[in-house]
Amino acid sequence: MSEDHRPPASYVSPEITDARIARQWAAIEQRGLPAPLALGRLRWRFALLALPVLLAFTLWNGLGLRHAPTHGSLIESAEEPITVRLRDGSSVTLDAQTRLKLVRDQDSAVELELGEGRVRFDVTHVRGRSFTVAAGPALVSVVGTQLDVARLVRPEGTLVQVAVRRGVVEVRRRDQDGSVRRLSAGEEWSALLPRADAPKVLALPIPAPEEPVAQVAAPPPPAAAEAEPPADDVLHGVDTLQEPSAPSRVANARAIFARANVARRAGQLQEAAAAYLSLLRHYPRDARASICAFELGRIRMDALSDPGGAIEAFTQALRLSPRAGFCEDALARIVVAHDALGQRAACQKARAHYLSAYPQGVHALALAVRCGGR
Amino acid sequence: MRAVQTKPSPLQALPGPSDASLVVSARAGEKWAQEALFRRHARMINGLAYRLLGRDDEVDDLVQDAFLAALRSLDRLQNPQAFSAWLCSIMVRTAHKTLRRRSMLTRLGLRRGAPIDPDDVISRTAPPDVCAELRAIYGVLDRMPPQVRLALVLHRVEGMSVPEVAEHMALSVSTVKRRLSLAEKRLGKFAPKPEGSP
Repeated sequence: MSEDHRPPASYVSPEITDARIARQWAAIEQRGLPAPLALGRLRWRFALLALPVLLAFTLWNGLGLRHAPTHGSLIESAEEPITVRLRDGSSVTLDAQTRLKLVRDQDSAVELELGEGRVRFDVTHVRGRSFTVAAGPALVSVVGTQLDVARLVRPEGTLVQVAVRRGVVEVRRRDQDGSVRRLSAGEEWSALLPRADAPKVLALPIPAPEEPVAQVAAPPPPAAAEAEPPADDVLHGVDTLQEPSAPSRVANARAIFARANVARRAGQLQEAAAAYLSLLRHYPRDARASICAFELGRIRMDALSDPGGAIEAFTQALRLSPRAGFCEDALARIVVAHDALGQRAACQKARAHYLSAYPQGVHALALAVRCGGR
Repeated sequence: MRAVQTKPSPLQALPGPSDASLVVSARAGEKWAQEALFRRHARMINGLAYRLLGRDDEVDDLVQDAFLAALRSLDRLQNPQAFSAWLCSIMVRTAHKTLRRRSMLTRLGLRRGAPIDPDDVISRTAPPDVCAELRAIYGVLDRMPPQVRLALVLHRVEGMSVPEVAEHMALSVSTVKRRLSLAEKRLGKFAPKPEGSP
């Protein structure tokens, strides 16, 4: 082995002279050195970057989305009305001197707040997306509807107006135990809210029918919102509607439940039963559904002389909440209802069910004499 | 002298701007800095090109190609102080392209290159054992695929470790090991038999 520890590379070298290096550099220069600041390349890069931006801008304009406001935008009109298109395609036209804030703009919900003025909304129906407009104390929820919402500040108070041009809406005043006004196309609703104690007004999410209700004859505008609509109007047409969004569902169910309870306490048991039934039909998964079913059963049994309907309601209540506090009463009432109907076998079966679940139950003695005795 | 050392070369040790400052100026399009970088590393990349190709006639072109490629991609160099090692990597990749092109032309019958003459390549001052090893390598180099010959030269001639070879060739360590294993097999297969052997 060699004692020399130089690597083999040191024995494989070309003849490198200064003249050769100078020639190489001259050749490199001749082939073109990178431009100062790589300006040429930068131009190309800029062009490459700008091209998609330009395309996007063109498409944006072409789709009429140029004015799509973003989350938190404040839209204000000066002397002339302006129209803006929201991200979901809904069109919003502001009258002159109008302020509107886009509070939330998400796939699941669009929330706007009308500061002052009048706005026309042409809401594109999007399944599962709630569209709400707050106008002072009024909150209007819409689904695929064209309507005007105005909040006009007057010396005597704030005038809130809702005018439906297409679709159907419902307006509920929260200060009047949930009274509901249903508005079809061409109808208007308005309320003057005193400055000091402006009542809260809520317009429920209104199911937009598949076909706009354009043929409805426009009735004369109601003088005010004081007119109490029939309670049964609340959920008319719901079966044909798109499923409302989760927050809307909760709000709707809560409103119906409250209205039902008010009616029950007021002795308006037919209305209460109708409201409980509405909630059960349209929001069967709501947390209040089981208690609704139980209350419905009690009303049918005690007030409406409908033991068959009561059995159905109690059974539904037990199915919805098998461990609820009312279960013992529901089971006992089923026994009594079957007894009233003369269904002896079913009565005995129900009683056996009750006694197996509550051997020492408070109704055990009373039930002993039912179903034709033991 | 290892071509891809990261420690400062004697030139870098001289008073003057560091590689990093020259790179910064060269990026800004300063011609003097580009030339300074070239002159500072010219001998190193000429030597590496010569050893990778095994002949002198294509060295000038390879050096020019590699240095121009380096200057044009200077903005992608993250550590300007590591310019030397980075330039070596570019030289290895450029040599790979050259060898592939040459191999393809030879296969198509469009090029007829003379085989490497080890006596021309190896210095007469090389010790006998080193000379024998280099002679064995350069005697069979032209018969190896480009990647295999590059790995062999970087490992056995430049004295790089396997991970260093992998880094310069932009390959995984295991791939380099396979290439080197293949190179060793070829080396054994084509090595000239000692005089007097059957």
